[in-house]
Amino acid sequence: MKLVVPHTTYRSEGVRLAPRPPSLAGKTVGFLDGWGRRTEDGSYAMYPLMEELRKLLEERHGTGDVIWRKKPSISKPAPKEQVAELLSRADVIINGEAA
Amino acid sequence: MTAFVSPVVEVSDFWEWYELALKNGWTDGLVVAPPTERQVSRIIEYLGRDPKEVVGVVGPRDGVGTIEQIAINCAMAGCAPEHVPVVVAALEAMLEPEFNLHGVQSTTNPCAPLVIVNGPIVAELGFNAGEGAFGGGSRANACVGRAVRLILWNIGGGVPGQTDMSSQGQPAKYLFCAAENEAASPWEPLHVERGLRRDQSAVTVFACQSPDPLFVPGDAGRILKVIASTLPTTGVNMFHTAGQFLLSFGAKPAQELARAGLTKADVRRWVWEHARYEVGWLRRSGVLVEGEGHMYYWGHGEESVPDLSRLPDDARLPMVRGPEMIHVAVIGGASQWWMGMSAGWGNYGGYAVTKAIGGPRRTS
Repeated sequence: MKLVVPHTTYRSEGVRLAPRPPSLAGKTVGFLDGWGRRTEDGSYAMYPLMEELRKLLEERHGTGDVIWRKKPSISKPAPKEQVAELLSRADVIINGEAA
Repeated sequence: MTAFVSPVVEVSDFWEWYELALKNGWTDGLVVAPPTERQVSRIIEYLGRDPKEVVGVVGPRDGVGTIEQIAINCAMAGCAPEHVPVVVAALEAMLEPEFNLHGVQSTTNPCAPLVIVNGPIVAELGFNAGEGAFGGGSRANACVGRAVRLILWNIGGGVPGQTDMSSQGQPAKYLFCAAENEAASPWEPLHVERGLRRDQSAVTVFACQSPDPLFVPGDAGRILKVIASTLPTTGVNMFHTAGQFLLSFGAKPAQELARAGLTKADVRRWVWEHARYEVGWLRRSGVLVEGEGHMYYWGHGEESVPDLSRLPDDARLPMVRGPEMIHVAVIGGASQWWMGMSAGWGNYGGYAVTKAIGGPRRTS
């Protein structure tokens, strides 16, 4: 019995990691925040895990400006405008958190 | 015979094939039919499409869904060629942005894509829309539902504990396909409500939980009151995330509601207006804790939600944003007063999408 078996190819095949900067000192760090943290007045601030990461990057690597953007939904891809802004303004981007 | 891109292997019998499929992770555990060269070729020839044609990229692993890969999975599901256009339409629907398939496949929620079939194809292919519609009784329901699952498994790569993080899953993940019982329904069919013609065949996909059965005996007023008093519970997914839900009426309660002059739109509006959370009840039940009022009700993913702890006891809150977020379909027979409520995934996605089922593109 001859069978044709599943053989899925993936879109990510051949995709490589972006080049890494030699140093993070002074670099602008973008944070693409899925959750955010709801404050007392109902507005959002940086998710605690990201906030801690921001502090660590500043303390250990002397990173520069921070651009923080909260995605409208944790489960949907970020709007193209948010991605474009981060790509154009940030040197490195933290694009997710899991806790 | 089609010239395949995929490997062709030779096995001695069914059991060798099944072991091979398990070893390679080509099935979620259930038995799968052997995708013989002949059956896969028959499907591709019936569709009349280039086997290399890409229908879409399937998340979460972004597998490339070519006609050949789809045909292989349909053959493994036991599909006859005529079932496959239904599967392709369901896949196209799941690939629309509002369905957010990547999220549906990888969420911790137990939702699974439900495929509801409408139109002349229901009778032509023998889909079960009557007694037991959600639970078997037809090759069409079984094979289409199973093919969707295998495509999501093999092409999408939605594997429990790896990419599918659903805490518990649900039996409907194995397969989840039913048809609307247009013959016994007093109402406009689902696909017509959603913009297609009655003589078109269509699928509507909706990511949801298995129907939670409600027993709704009595006249229309009583049916509605039972629904309104049952639905707004605090553990139901919509309390946290709004989104959409499906009311699947057996034919008997649907006919009773229609006898009272109610349309699907009337039912949707009535349920939206009356199935509500009373803040005083939330407070008395201990669910509502001062200072955490905005954490729970619609607190996941909604930008602007009221702080419940600041509302008076007689405030009543809707389950979802509006009547249009409630879907109504007639699924099942008229043998008793049963209906089902299927909670959706919430405002993250999995929203209902309807697509017409295309015919084969044979030129000869």
